[in-house]
Amino acid sequence: MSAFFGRFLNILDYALGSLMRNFGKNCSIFILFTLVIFLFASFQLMTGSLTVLAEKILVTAPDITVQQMSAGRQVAIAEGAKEKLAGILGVKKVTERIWGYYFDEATGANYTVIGLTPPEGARDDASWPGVSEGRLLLPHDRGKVVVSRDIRDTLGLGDRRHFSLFRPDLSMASFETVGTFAEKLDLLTADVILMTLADARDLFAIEPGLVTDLLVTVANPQELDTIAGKIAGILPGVRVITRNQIRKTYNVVFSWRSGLGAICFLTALAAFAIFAWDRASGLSREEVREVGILKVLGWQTEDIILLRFCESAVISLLAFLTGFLLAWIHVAVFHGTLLRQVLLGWSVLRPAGAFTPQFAFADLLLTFSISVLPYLCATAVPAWRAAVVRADSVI
Amino acid sequence: MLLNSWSIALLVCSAATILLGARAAVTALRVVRFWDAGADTARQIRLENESWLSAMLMEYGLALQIISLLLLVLAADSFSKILVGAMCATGAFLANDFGIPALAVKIFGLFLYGFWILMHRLDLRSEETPLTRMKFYYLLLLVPYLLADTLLLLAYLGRLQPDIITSCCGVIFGGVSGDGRNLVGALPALPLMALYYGYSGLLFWGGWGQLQGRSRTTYRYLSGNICLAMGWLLFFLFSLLIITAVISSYIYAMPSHRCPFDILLREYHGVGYPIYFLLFTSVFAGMSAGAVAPMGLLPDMARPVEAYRLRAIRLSLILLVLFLFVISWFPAVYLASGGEW
Repeated sequence: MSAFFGRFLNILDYALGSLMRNFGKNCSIFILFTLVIFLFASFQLMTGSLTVLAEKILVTAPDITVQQMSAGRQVAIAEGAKEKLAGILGVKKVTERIWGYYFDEATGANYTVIGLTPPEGARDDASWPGVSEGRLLLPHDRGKVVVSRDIRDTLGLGDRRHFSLFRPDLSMASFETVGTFAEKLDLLTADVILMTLADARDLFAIEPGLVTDLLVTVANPQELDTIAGKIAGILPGVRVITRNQIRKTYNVVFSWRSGLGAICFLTALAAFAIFAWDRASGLSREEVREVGILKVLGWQTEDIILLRFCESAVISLLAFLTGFLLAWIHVAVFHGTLLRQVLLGWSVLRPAGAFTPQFAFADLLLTFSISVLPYLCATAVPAWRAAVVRADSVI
Repeated sequence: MLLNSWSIALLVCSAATILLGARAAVTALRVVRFWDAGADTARQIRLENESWLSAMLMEYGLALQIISLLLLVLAADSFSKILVGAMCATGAFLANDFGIPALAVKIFGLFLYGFWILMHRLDLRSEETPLTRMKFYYLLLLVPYLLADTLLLLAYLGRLQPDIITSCCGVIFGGVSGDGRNLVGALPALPLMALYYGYSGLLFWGGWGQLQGRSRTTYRYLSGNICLAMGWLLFFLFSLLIITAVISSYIYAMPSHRCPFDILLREYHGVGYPIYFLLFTSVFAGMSAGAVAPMGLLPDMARPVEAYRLRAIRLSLILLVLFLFVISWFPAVYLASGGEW
């Protein structure tokens, strides 16, 4: 066993020396390969952190969301449906919600306005970790809102607390900010203006008795699917969405986007593999001489194949580690600046520091198998071709 | 669901394996047609050189196969987050008819590639390389296997339907059977474990007997070794059943969760890796020790085959004991700390 390792270490030692002798040639391969791995790993890490973040956030999502559909589009749902839902055994609570998008012509940004009835019994001094300054809304608040730091900046509020938005008839509705969302919620709340149900109804001029959707809380999570089925039976033409479905949809969307990234990456990889193949195939006179001399000295074909494999493995592993590390820094420190538009969308108000890369063996293996393995395979046949040079060819 | 990083990685690995396999098959065709061990022609020298290439490509193929098996299991775990009713990798594999066959083909692929490499190594031990033609016929047989592997994988990935909110109606009740189906139902643990330990003991005894000395007649030598190889194959399948039906529940501490894949996850400290490593290596060593025996009858092969056989049997027995110890550990700790003992 020790003889085996001794032989391997000697060959590895020779391979490292050989790499250093051809520094310029190997350097270009290393840099290109690092770049390719960096791009793919960045995608992978960003998708991973987004998925984890979505999981965390969706814990707070309602168990079941009920929306009215008409002609394939979502329309307002009658508030009266709430009583019907509350009658279903196992339903703990039904809450109305009015929400929609508000386009601010002055700044070109789209805000998401969410109107909810604050829970009874909420107190003025109650602190909530999601709000970094001020407080949440109280049941009898009128004209009060909670916004994100981004929206404060976009509106140019500075230290002021009051701002106005237009109703559909172009009259002004005035609001006072009473709280600011914490930055850790940015992915969710970067473009959110939270107000009471009545204020949202007033802003969007929605008729009394109608809301955007109904949020259902279920006492026993095991009964979720059954209750969702019952709701679909009681209210014809509604769309019933469970939290699990939202979670899975998020996962699918993120996996599609990262798949798209992987496809783009594949073209880069193919180009790189051809480049590596080409570099490895062209045997120079010196290389033929070197192999010939090694053979004369007693090296076997197998040893030279192992030598070439060691060279490729050292380059690709170094490139893999460097590329992955750079991707980590790119995502963790620079918040994935280069790729964030692809994964987060194109809106004007975008969360700033949404990415915390997760260390997962699966990600490492995925990146490794999609980059290092094809490279090693591409250099396999050239390695053999170099190894079967005959000893007498240099004499 | 081909547009997914996992699917793409698996397909890249498959494509690479097929390319390597195709190149090796070209050599195999030439060797089968023109190989002449005694000749000293330029063509023979070229063929000898090419056989090095095939050996290297098969070694690459084996490495790729090991990694893609691991990828497939981890991919199934990641797919389970987006499929209807799938709670873990088992659910993802059962999501369509091709999941389990694709997995099985990958698992047995490991053994088939491993045997080829072993045959090649043994062949090189002899001056006359008597196994050359045989090993290249074997290689040609592996090509359709490789294609089947890739086609099954494509069928599995292509037919996976992720569960997403459709715009017409959110609820997809049709498919919600979501109890995280298990591969096998609940089995009577105690008799099954008794049978399993008994069988392992028998296998150990059989291997030990082989170590003690060579049978006198060729017939007994061959039949003993082939029985041993079949015994190890059966042990492999039995062990997979035991890990799934009995041992995994103890690792998860959940009687209703019987999944052979989740034990690879970080939540369970990746205990699956040592378990499967020990299982695969012991079965490979045991099975190959039996399977190489007929090669020992060829001229000039008796010594290398016998040397390998004894080493492999010894190794398989050591690994078998370790494997049994590791998988017994979890129920033992559970029963002891639970006060049942």
